[in-house]
Amino acid sequence: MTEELTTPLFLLSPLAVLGAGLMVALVIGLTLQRFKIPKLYGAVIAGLLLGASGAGLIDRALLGQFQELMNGAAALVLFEVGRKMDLAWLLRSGRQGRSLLLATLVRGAAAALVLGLLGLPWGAAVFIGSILIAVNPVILNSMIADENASGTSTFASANMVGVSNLVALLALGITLAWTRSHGGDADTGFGAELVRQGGKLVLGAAIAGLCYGVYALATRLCKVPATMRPGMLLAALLIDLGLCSVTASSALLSLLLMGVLLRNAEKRDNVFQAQLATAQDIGYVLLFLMSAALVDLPPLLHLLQPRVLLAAGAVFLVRIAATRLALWPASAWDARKKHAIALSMCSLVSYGGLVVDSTLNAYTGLDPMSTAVMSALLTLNVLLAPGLTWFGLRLAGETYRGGSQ
Amino acid sequence: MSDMTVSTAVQDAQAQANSGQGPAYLPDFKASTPGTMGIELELMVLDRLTYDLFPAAPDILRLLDKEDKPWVHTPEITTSMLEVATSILTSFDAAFDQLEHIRQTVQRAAFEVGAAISGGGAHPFQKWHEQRIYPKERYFASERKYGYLAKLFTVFGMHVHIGAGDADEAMRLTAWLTQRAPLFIALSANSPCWQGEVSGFCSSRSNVVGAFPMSGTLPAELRTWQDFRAHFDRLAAHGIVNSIKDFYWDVRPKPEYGTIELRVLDTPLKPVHAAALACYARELVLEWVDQPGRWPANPSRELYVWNRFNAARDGVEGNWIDPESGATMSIVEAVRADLERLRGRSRDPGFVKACGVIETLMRDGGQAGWLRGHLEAGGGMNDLARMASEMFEHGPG
Repeated sequence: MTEELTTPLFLLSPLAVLGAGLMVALVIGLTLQRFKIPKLYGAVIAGLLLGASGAGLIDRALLGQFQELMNGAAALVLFEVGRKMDLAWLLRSGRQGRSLLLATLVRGAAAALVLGLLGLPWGAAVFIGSILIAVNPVILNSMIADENASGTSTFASANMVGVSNLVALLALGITLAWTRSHGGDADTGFGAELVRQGGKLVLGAAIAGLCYGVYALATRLCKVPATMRPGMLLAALLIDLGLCSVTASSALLSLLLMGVLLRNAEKRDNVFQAQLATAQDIGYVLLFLMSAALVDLPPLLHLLQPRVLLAAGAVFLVRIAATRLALWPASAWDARKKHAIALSMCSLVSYGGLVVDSTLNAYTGLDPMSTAVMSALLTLNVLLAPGLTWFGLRLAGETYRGGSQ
Repeated sequence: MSDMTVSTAVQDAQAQANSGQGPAYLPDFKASTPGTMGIELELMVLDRLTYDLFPAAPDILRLLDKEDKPWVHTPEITTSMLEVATSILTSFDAAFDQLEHIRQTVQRAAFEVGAAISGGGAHPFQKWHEQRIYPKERYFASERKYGYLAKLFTVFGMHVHIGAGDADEAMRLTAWLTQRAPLFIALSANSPCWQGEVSGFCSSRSNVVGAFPMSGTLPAELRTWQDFRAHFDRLAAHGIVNSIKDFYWDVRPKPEYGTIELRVLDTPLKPVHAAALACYARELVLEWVDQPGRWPANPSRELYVWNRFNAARDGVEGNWIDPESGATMSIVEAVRADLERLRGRSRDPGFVKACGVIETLMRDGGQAGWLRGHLEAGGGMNDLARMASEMFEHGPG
């Protein structure tokens, strides 16, 4: 007779835990939907119940076992972001494209300014500000899919998510180099660190170019219509992810650029006309994991100083206000849609969500106060951003449930 | 037609009747100059990547509100459609210039909000149930009245208004233009696909209208405006109609404008096609105006339905039975004979150019043939919509 196991077998399998979590998330989400509450909150609540805040079944340690898979999923989400960037529109729509870029820059700058004024070291404030440039594609994309949103502000929001993540990746390369070269454990100068960080980005971009070339060559060799090319696309994406992994280059930038290239370079019979939806389901899992692993409510509520909460809340609001202000010159959307776009852009990403490669998953070089503010921001993000994004999409009047009015 | 003045009281009564919220109302027929014309185009609003229909019409219309222009724009039943209507026109060149201005302005506004615009009678792969009713009471009332037919009516037509002179003359001219309506179905046919399938028809759109209870043609026994008013009153008393808009006839009188309205055309792929086809209809009407008191000899409804069916199915490659002579001929022959005759009597210097454009529309199977050719060359449905959109956006030529 073997000794009795006190732990249920499925808890020994991370995959089973993940599957169980997803099942709980869907049960809660679909139940909430009956009461007109966004389905996405099912993933948030399931994460809180099963993650660090609740049963503790999913934590950072478990996530570590999935790192390669998670990196791939995060990169695919960025690929989806890239493929929604309409370069011709961004460049030629005049004040529309300019206002989206302005909103992106102002959002990060305003967040950094508020954090600095609230007492964070300026280096840390700028570093966090560069992360806060980015809008979380998981929350927006999942909400758009759940609510069947379609329209001009949804189109603009999708473009702004792309612009914000692209700019954030570039900005973070610089601020990370600065932070690393000036931290207590600094072992290289700013120039050398900048070359290192820039090298990851440049290499990621080069891999994207190479993989797009491979895809383009393959499509020309067999000359099949768009509907028959998703398999080739998948192959090119896997090559891209693999090359980024072994070269420790920026998989996020690489996949994002792959999306941009495929969306904009392939005009006739575009592969995306095959109605691909790569990120919708991935997004649901990622939000569940974000909620489970990144939100640890009891200690957060216990330890958080009012100053930290104030800083996080202020940054959260200022990002929305700054985005709204920067949309002022745009003429394509009325005031209601501009409010809606600003609200939909409220979500943010974690450091790990921007710097996904095989060597960097978390950054621990920040001072305790900055780390606490970032944790509080991520908690607010998981708890509030889905609701505000949902409200933004509804405010735009672009969601649709089908049937009669 | 945008600058035809209609009094506020008439407009209010008409609007109430149209939305079903007021009593049935048929205004008096307004006197007009025979041969003046106006063109209405229903345009597709498309996603710039997938070329599926894109619900951006409200935003585009808001931008068009800011434009100072001689033409008007209005919403349509679903949010991926918008309608534009010219001012009163009297020549091919004027029609071409104004339609080109419309094309450039609408295209610019659409691009600003991230959308594309296209002509064409039916979107090749849209799903009717995914369409969104335009948020306006009149359209919600239509949805309540017609159920799924309201969304099914996400089709895109071109309507030509032609000044009829007076009310009784409008009835006579409506009867004449109805006879020739199948020729216009054939010349404008460019909707060979429906809900993602090749339909076997050159104009799939033409079949959609038939589902509405008051579709069809002007009954042959109605020969005066008084006849029509009595007919209207009888139907209104039963609650069948409430306004002239409830008559989905292929050609109908439009009393508040003083026109007759040809409604059978698919929206052409290029504005220049629209200008040419409108001028063809106008010249036909002017020819009948010069034959006062003469009515069609054969008002057979069956013959009309057969001609209409053939034109919708085969486009410019179909046959047409001339109701006057009973002779069967190809549609190309019938149109060429008309154009030859009309060219000799037209006072519009641009009509020769219009005839040239119509000749182009009869080449290679016409617009439907061009689109089918793209499919046969391996293009998918999305790419077909892209091609149509690019044809519209590239403008003249």
